[in-house]
Amino acid sequence: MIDLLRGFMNWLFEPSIALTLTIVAVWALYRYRRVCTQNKIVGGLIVASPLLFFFFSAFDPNFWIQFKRPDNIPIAGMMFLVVFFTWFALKLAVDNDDRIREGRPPKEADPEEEEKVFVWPDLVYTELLCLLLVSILLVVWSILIPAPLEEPANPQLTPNPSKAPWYFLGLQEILVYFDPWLAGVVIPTFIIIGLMAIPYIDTNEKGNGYYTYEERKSEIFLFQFGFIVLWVFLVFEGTFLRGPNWNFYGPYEYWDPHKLVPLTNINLSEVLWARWLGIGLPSFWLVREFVGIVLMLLYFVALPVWLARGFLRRYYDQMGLMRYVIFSHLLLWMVMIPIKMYLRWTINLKYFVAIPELLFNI
Amino acid sequence: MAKKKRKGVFAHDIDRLNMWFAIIAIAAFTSVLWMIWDDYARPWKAYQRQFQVVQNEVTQQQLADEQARVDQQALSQLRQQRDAAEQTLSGQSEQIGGLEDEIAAKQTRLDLADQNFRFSRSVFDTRRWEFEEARKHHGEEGAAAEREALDLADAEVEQYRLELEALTLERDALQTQLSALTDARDAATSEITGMTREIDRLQDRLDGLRFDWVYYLRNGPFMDGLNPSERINQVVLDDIRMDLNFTDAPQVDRCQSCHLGMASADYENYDQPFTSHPRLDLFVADTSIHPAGDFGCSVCHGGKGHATTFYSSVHTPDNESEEERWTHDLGWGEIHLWEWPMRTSGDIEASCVKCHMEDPWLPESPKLEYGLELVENLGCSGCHQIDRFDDDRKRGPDLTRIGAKTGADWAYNWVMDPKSFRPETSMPQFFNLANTSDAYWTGRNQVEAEAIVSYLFASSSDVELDSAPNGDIARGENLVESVGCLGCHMVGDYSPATEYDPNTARFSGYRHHGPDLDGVGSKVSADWLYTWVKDPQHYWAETVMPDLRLTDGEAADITAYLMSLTHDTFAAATMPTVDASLRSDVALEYLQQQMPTQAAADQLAAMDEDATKLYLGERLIARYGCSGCHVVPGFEDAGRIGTSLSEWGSKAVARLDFGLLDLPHDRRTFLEQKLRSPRSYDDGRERNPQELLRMPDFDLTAEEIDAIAVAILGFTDQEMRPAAKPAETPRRLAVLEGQAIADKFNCRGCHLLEDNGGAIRTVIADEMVERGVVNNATAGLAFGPPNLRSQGARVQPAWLYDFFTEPSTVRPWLDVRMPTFPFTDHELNALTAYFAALDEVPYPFESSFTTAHSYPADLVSEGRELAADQSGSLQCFSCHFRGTQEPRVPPSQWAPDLALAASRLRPEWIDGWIKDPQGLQPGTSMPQFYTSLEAGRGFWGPLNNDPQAEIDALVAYIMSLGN
Amino acid sequence: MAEAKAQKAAGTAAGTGTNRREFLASFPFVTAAWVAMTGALAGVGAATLRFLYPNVLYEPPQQFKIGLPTDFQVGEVSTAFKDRFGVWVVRNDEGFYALITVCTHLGCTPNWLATENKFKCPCHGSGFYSSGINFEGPAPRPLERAAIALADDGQIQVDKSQKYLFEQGGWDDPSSFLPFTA
Repeated sequence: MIDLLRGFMNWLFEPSIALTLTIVAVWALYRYRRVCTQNKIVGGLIVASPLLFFFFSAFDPNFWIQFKRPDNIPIAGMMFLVVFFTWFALKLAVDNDDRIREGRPPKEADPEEEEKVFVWPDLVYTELLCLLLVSILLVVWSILIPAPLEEPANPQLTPNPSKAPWYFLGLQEILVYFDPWLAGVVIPTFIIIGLMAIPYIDTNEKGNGYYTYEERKSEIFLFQFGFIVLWVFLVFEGTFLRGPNWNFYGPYEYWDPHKLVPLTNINLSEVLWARWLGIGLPSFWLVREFVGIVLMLLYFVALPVWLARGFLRRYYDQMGLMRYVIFSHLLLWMVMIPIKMYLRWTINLKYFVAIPELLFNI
Repeated sequence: MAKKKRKGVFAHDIDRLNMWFAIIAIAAFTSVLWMIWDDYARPWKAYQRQFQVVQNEVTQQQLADEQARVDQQALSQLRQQRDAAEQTLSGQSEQIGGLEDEIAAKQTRLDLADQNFRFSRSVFDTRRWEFEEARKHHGEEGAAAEREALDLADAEVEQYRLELEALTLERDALQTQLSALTDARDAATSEITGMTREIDRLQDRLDGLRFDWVYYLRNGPFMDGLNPSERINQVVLDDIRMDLNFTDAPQVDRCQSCHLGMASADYENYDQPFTSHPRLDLFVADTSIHPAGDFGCSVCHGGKGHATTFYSSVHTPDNESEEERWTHDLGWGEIHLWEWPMRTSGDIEASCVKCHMEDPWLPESPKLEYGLELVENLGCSGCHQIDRFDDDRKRGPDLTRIGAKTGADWAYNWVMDPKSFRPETSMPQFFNLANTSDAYWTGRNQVEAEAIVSYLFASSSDVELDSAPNGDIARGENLVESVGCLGCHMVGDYSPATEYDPNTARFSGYRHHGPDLDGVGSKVSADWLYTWVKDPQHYWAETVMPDLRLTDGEAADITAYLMSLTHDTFAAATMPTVDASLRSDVALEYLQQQMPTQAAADQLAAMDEDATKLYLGERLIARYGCSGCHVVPGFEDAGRIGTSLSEWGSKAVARLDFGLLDLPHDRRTFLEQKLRSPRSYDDGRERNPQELLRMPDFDLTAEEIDAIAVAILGFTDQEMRPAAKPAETPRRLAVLEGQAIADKFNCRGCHLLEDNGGAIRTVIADEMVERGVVNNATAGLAFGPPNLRSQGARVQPAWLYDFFTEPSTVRPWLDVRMPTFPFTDHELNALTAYFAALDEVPYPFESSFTTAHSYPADLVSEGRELAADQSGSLQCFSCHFRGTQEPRVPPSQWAPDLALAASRLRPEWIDGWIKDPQGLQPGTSMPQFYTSLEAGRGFWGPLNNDPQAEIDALVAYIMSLGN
Repeated sequence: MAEAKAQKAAGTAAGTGTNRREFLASFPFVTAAWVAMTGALAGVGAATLRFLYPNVLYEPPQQFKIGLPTDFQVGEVSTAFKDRFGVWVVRNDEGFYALITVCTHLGCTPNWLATENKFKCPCHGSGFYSSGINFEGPAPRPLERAAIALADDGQIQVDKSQKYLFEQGGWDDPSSFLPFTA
């Protein structure tokens, strides 16, 4: 019985399924936000879900080995904090949305709900208490869970698995699907640029200084997609679901370094020329990658134009050309990540465009 | 809950906040206390405290012992004397006080005078220097002023010196007066101190071991930063490096912070961590060969030397029960992230290898020595490269002329199962092993063995053999048992009918250097055996089997006897009929490794049966690596087929393939399993024949596996700096080289060399008892080859060299003879130098050898008289041969011809021999004529009964005998 | 209501309310809190200061053995341990003492001049007798002695962590001198 459950969970957490579920869960949370935030049972379940997951999973010996590592414990803590604060923010947003719908000002602006405190002594006092609390937490943590130390670094022997620090685990994951230039340089740069650009391309004046969802639906959803799905989930996956040789292991699966998984990925040009047409790959890259290049141009150039006329018309009108170009560009890069992942999982696609002569693959 | 709204002054409920503040602040305080305590209360401090209690116990015991030992009566007497003297003195206290005051006053004046004197002397030195400089630059006249000043200074010095002298005398006189009074008391006191010195020392020690308030203050929290008595004890070892991959750092060992009793023998009866280290003469003590101050601990034991807790030091339990106890009581757990866990007690000798890689003999690490011997004898370096054995020749016999020696039927059955013919052989089993035992493989093994044998016999070259004349079996048996064969071979100790006990460890003796001769009659032809025994190098140029200088008759007899030793199953050995189609399939399989499928099939079709066998044989010999141990025609340049073991002890555990076996993942376990059943790592795996494991099975006992594991675990990549290794003095190098040669030619099979070996001696002793020559085995030992102890100091190197190249008879009563060994020139030089280096005597020339030295005639004649066969003389020839004249005593007491001495012996050795024969050769029959060397203790009047003069005369006589 | 609240705000113990309120109002939480917090800060400060005193140093050992007493001649000033351990070992008629090779003027390492029977510091010319007493030059006080004793195995053991200063009467301490008559 337990084995069935284990098998089910191991299957559930496979990247293709888990990623889809995460997207669905985020969508569902916002779609059914009223139930999620105001129904005590549902809300409680949501907030408690990371705790329950980790608590019950800790009884599994394989999961326990990974969970008890001193550097994985904070990740578990982070999962809880992310879930909790996402839910809590949504709860406050739903309350505000109700108030706005009723014509009242949001809580933050309501004079009757004024929660002003004086800096001295209230704010400073509570800050002092928090300072002490955090200090106590750190002292006790460092006494009880000493920092781990591995053996002296041996250039002949790479640790297996060799994992990046947690804040880079998302990037390490997309390195599976993307060329290092893209996954290591281009995409991180766009993440940083994108975050910096938000104040400049976000033309929605609503939601300043108060929680709301309905007034900023797409902005919130876009951000949560990038944050929860593409960042937090990948960090969780990189911590608990990726094992030796960067193979996928279910949460209750033993990390057997001898596990073998065929990674039979194929480029688009190979599919086209070798398999469908049956002739050899042309040696000149432009000819060889023509279809892929066209696809990419369509995606990055034609698609925004088409979207501007349709789906994203509203944005185009609001933002103007310059902002829209930046926005759509960033959006398309962001969405490219799951697209590529799904294409890899379904049809084993390696690269749309593979030009090793120029060290460019996408 | 209704929120308290306070407008105006505070927004929060300040009382609540105050309460929280108090709670949190107290929690913060507690956590800080906890932090301080966690940092202060280190486990090693508890151990040090415990150890102080132990030290107290031990010191108290020592004190009690010492007090019992001291003569209490004498002590109390002395005390009485002293007290009486004190009494008298107290009566004279005024006088004494006056004297002391005077002395003090005198001393003050003396100190002043001393200062004056020294200052004046400084001034004098300066003036002198000025004068010399002035004289140099301005001449004698120009330096007149300086001369005057110098003289003045000189006078002043003299004046002060006289003053000082006078004062000193006066003070000394007063001192003498005082001493006269206090003498009795002082004498008594110093005697008492002398008697109680040890007691006082122990008492002081006990005082220092008290747990008083000073102790707790020194070692209390915070105060322990200044000058604690509980402290980390560490050694920083510059010569022993910790390998950090990108750099290295001096090893730092802190083991002695807890293991406080290890350097002293006083703690033998205590448990860990305080117990004394074993063999303090070899390890740890300051006076030992490996003092802890120079070597630390982790160089031998492994582990994390710089750690300070039991857990983080990576201790390794010796067995399961210890592991349980440690896990329960001491919080032990396995640490995967330290590549060098401590070695278990059983494996500790593996660490010796890293400094003693070149030593052939390691008497203080018997398990390691045994393991290395096994690795060498089993021929591991035939497939696996091992640095230590790189220069060794191939372990197995040369197969280039196998056709002349034996038949294909015998060879086939041997290859299939060597131990069925010769249980003690080092040749392992290649077929019918764990991964080649099913029905398919039973047939295929036959195919493979047949092919290999066919190849060997087809490529065998011819050799001219003498035809063996008829010989007498009984005489041959006698010869074999007496002439020396049994120093390297075994015959009859296992008859083919008795079961070989697989639990006895092999290779524990020198008599397995050559193959066991049981059943040899079913293996070789008489002609071959006769030719071989007469001249081994004719058949195999690189053999180490020596020439016994047998006459044709002797050789014929020996051949007849050995040919009579037949093997019950191998006598009529046959090759089975091999499945031809299976052979073709296997050949096709190998062909397909080399060429495309169609071409392979064509090639196969083109080969007839013999060609197929030859092809297959060649491929199989390449696959199984036969040329690693044997010289095989066509495989002269073939390499080794196995992985290198030179640094196997450092191999990362993650790189070891445990297959599907459920075993703990450490090197030791992997190694043991591999040695126990090499092919077991294929269990449960789907492998095609080309992918199967190839290592053959050596059928090792548990003891052998243990020893080999220790040896191989010792092969690490840790490079030791020369300063940490034994100094490579010329003596050491000469001794090491000699030991290696002695190993190669198995000198210890016959001789006791460095007090080990002499395997043939008991065999000969038993034989002599059997023949009735002696009554008991101890007397029979006299008929064995001589003990080579002090051989370097004994013989002249030139004689030794001649002896090696052409052995002469030194002891005519022995049947066993020194063979002529096929030494190279280099080996001859090294071997003679070895003996001399062992005894640290001059090599190769010494002026006292007869060629340069001559003895005075009268001394010689006195010696002759002293040695002569007359009453009152030593009657040397009653035991010593004189030319061919046999001595009078029974043969077990015979001694060599003294005429040999002049060219053979070193004169200083003869001197030492006469003085103390037992010391040079324990168990010898030579009597000790001189028990004392004091003048007058001799017994030869003409030489004034002076033992040394008598011995000199004897030496002179003996050294003149041959001329 | 507002009055009661104001009273409470003033921190005075009002007689109204439940026991818990009384307790909350009367117990000197703030004092206790500040005392505890001061204690915590003091603890952290003390721990920091303690941290400045290392538990181990990668220096040559302070205690070391220098051989058997019979290895030294009477009247000999041994410079064999100057480089490695920083002591001179002197034997006189009565026994042994060990002088620390640090000039008491400004800390240079003096040299032993056997012909002139004195320690002479090259930095400013301080001179010391073989007993260690300063007699010339700017050195204000004699050389320091290290603790010296016989170890259990009969070797002389010097302990530089214990210093004995003449001017403080340290040379009268028996640990500063090892009596030994052949």
